[in-house]
Amino acid sequence: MSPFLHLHAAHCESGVTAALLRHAGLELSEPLAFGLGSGLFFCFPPFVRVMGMPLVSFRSYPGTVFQLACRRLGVQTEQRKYASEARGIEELDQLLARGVAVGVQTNMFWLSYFPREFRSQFNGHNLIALARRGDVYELSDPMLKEPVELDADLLRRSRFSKGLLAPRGALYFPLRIPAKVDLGAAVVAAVRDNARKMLAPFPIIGVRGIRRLARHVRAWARREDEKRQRLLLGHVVRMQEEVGTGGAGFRFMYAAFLQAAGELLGHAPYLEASERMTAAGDAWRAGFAGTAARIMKGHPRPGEDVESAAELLLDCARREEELFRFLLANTPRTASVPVAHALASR
Amino acid sequence: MREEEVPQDASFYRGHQRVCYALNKDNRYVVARSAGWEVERVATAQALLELEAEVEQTRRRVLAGERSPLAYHLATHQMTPKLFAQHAGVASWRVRRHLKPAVFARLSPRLLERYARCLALDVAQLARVPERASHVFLEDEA
Repeated sequence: MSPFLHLHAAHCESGVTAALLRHAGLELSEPLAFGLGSGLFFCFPPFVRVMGMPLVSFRSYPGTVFQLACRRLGVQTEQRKYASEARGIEELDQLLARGVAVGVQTNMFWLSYFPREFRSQFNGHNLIALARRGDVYELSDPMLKEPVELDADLLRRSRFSKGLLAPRGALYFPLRIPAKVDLGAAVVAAVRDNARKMLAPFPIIGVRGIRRLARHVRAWARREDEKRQRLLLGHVVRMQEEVGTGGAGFRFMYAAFLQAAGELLGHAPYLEASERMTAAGDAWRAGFAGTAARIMKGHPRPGEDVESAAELLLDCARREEELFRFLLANTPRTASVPVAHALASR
Repeated sequence: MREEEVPQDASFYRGHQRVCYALNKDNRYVVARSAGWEVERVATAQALLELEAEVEQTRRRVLAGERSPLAYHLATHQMTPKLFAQHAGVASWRVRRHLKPAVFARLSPRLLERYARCLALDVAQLARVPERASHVFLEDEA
């Protein structure tokens, strides 16, 4: 088997998916892997608290990007979870001894190679295990420029951490790439699925979830003291930017996916949607996050306050609603396209 | 976001770079690398300073004899009593009781051993807290 090529990516799971598929012989960019796994999302559920802060997620449930991307491409996969730690460690070591590159779900707190500031009790971080040498694992973490080494005990703690999204030692990898991959059909199905999720008639997810967040931000302005307002706004900005989203809560990565999809299929509406997605991303970043940061620092521009930050969220929601409706209305009629060039590395 | 607008601000990345996607001159998406973004740094610093304040308050309460050292170590590990209870395989009401100094002082060596292992400490470390205030999450001011 060819040596594993490390991929420095924007987001852990789409990076792991692209790198594992490339290693198995199916060359895909990170945005394509992300889009094919319908990774763009928004979720703002009630009651769920993470370290005293409401859960705000810009991504789909951990694990689904890999699963959906592989399913749509017809790639067979193997996925395992463990009740027993010993068994989970043994099976990972056996796979590595056979030379398999294995996707692993981990808790970030124990990954000592990250700066201390970014290590939190978050169970949805994905990376690739490459080899084990004695008490050290060689890992390919898509958030880093290069592969790293990690103490075996720390990886054990990380894989078998408890709490929300507990990984239970989860391992996954592609087994077999089909001889023919219909990338066009996979892209069309993925875009449609993602649009439906973003437009779903549930008040806590997708565009309606963003509107719900905007309502809550407005309520913070009335109910919370100034310090708590700043912490809450900062929390949303962290979820949008800090956790590895490629900018603007994955919106730029999805715009890159739509651009690639439009070029692949020769479908102009995808290209237009890509431009509109970029504009939505700019609204998240320069609009909402920029305003929030000025409020946090205590010198907002004239007219800027928590209420106006909520207005900016509504602007993001409006842009995304229009763009996903546009995508649903402009599905390409024939999905099938030749994809020889998508399989460059075979 | 345009490629030339990708922020290269001071950050907590410590030489790490973050990949993001931006448009180049021909309006094509390319991979760009960011050294950090001021907006994100402000949000991170603010959240971490809040955590530091909580840890420091807990440390003082431990030294004042109001809480057991376990409370301090849970705070530095960003664990709630409930989450820690799941790791240790102990009922969470018991963990909450063990946050009282008097109850903690009577814990069996076996249970202390198990608690220490869960937090990647040794038993001696588990039983004490730093004498002086120091940052736990912020290694230095970025």
